[in-house]
Amino acid sequence: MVCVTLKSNMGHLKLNISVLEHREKAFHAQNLKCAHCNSKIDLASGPLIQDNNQNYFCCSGCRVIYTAIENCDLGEYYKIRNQFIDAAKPATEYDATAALKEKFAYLDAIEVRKEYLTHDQQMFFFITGIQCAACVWILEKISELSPGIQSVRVDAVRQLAAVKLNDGGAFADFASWAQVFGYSVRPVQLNENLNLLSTQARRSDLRRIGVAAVCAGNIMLLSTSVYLGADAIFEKLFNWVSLALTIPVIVYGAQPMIRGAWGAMRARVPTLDLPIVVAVLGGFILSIYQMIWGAGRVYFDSISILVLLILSSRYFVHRMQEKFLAYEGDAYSLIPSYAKKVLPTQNTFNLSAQTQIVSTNQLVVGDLICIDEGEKIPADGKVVAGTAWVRESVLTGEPLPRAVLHDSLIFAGTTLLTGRAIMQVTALGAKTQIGELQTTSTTSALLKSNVGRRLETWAQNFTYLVMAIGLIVCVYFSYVGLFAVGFERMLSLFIVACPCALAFGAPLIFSKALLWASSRGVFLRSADVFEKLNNIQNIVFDKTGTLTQGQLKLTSISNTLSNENRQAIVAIESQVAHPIAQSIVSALSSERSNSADLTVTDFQILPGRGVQARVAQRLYQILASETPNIEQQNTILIWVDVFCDGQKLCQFGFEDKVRHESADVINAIRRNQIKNYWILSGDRKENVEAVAHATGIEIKNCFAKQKPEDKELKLNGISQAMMIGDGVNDARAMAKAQVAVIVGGALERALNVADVFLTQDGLKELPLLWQIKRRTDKAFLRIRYFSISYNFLTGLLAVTGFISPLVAAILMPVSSISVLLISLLSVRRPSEAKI
Amino acid sequence: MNILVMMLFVSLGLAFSFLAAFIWASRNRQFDDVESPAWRALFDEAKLVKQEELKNVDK
Repeated sequence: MVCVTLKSNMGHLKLNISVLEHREKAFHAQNLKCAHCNSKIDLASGPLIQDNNQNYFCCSGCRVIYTAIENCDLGEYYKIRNQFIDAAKPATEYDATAALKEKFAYLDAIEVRKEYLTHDQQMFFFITGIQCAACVWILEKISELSPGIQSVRVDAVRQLAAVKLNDGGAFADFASWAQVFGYSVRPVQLNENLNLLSTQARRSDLRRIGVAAVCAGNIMLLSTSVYLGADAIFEKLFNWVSLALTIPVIVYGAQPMIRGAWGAMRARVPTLDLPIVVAVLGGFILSIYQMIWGAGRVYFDSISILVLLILSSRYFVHRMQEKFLAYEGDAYSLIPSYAKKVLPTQNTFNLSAQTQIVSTNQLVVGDLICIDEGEKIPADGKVVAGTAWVRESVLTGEPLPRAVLHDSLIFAGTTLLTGRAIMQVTALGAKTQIGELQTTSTTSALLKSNVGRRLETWAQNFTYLVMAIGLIVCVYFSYVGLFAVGFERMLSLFIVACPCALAFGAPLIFSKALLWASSRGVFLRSADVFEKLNNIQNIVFDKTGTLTQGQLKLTSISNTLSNENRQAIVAIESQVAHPIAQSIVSALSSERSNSADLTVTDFQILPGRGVQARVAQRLYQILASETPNIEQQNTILIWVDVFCDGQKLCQFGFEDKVRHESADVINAIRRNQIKNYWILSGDRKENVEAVAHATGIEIKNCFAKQKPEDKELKLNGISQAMMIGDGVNDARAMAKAQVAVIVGGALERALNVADVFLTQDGLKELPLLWQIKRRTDKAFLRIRYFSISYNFLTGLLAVTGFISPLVAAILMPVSSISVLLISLLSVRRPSEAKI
Repeated sequence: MNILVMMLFVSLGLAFSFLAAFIWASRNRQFDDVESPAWRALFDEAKLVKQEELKNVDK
């Protein structure tokens, strides 16, 4: 095939390069993508996975799912997927173990049903892995695949599925089918998920608009006839009906504004609601007075239209914001929703004890649960039986797994890589380490909102000014004896003077900025980031995983190995789920040798040291080196020795390569006048200095052997800092920085530890922050100018009586929409802008 | 012109009945998801063959 052709063309010059690299070069030109999840296939991670029809996959998980989908005649999925998106986002991590109905049997237990079923017998599930419309389609088709399921309705934006059963159906059916197709599901209670809370709020907002619209529309009809000169009797009748219709508008429709204004008065702080509420209530009272005792105009139409338009525009803005806001995600997706509880009848802490699957909510402290290979740990606890390797990168950021033995502590949310263990629960849910980390980070996030506070002060001053002018006008006119005229002008002023730039413009500009960032894989927790960027003077990098790839690659082999030995080592290491083993396998395996033929016997994992096994009667031991070869290369992180029957065969060196974009990114950021760059790392000095050289960071700003506490201390000394790291282990240091950035964070997003999450591999998109900031600054200037000139002009017209309250009520949304349009059009990505 | 009075009540009645319908729909989650139904409209109605066979067998 291709590789053979390449090799023969180049003669024997390149015998030392593994066949893997040849293949890599050839296929990189083709840019191979997985047939199922559409992500780029990483040839370095192992042999190419394909099926009989020339389809290639990034992993056997995708191949399983692809085959399942094709076998069920649902291949339409891929057609729909290709229609809706030109490039599907690469799949995030999900559980690819085959679904068993047993696993989800707990969903149909009576206690669980009682908790989770809604009043119309539906159960809601949070689904991870929904990428586009094709996913909606395939999940809804599950109702046809399984006779017990009546209907599945998917809400793609909120990632929820509502499932209704037929008689005799089971929710476990739905869950297992969803799992087979590659989605992980978790039942949710309606009051638990934040997304659903906002749905309730949205629904009541819609209802208010409905009521306001019905009443305002009818009042307009009636007042039109009055304006056109209805007879006195009808005028009276229509006015009374208008009054009656205005009452629900004020009491129900304007309720949130009235509450806001009341709260503002009690706190002696004016908010945007205050002038509006004064106008509405004032207009209402004046109109009643005019109707009963006077003979002037009534303003029911103005105030009801005003309330309707304000409610509508605020709703519209909220919807836009919701659409553009950064990923919220499921706060509890890190802790699995089910656990294998050891049945109480089992007396011994036996690894093969019988277990029953229960919902995590039903566990109590002291329960014994069993964790199998590849599963996530559902609670904090202590190992009472078994040994295993646990990957805790979600908690500590450490990519290398930790060995756990009897009495070791293990934590919820981490993954058990190899082995099997029984643990005793010590903490659950919000009280686990990961749960506590989530709650603390959310509260600290709420305190960090400067932009909002600045806008509020501006709005308050504006409101003071407007109310002062209005009162002066009113007092002046009543002094002259024309109270009604003065009041009317005051009303017009209050209605028309709208700090829309702040109310609508700012949030929209921020929302568009967030959307722009998220389209490039940069997720921002709030728009405050741009504000903070103004003052950043220092940028602090973590080394491993941030400036470097964070993956161990086998880069040096001290002696050449015979083919036999190579195959044996690959056969042994293929059985281990450890980054070092995977690196060995990908570096050493070749197309010609087939390690699957070799039988591996007496396989033994030596926790903390390595593995050993027999292949063809020879005992191979692959262990962490006691004698690292420090002089040879500075950048080698780990040395591993290979022994055969007691004799040292060779030594492997594993390196963590610097990301090739690191230097470019730092140069790009330098253009923003940021002078100081630092590296804080837990690694050795030589490795840190090598990385500093490669990226152009001054050595005097690089510190090695830093534990998390040391990093935190250093951050105390560095003011105005942006800290960039790759894990939660930097969390404490990040809390001290002005801006915290997490690289490669997919899971960590849910923990809300940082301000910025770069989900594309590496630092490439970091300079985007400054680019977006410049655009938003320009946009703000524009709406500020517009808002000032508009308010000045219309305020003048209102005070001099050229604008009646009705005209004012209509002008106000016109200005709001203008500000909206300006905001939307100002923050456009370079590809969108036509100018 | 008494017709005007009657029309007043009729129009108000109509308006409020629509409002009631709107509130009922809102309570039954009609307006919660406005994106997915747009996609759902474009899906084909072709049912799976196997399911059809199953249903016929039952009957």
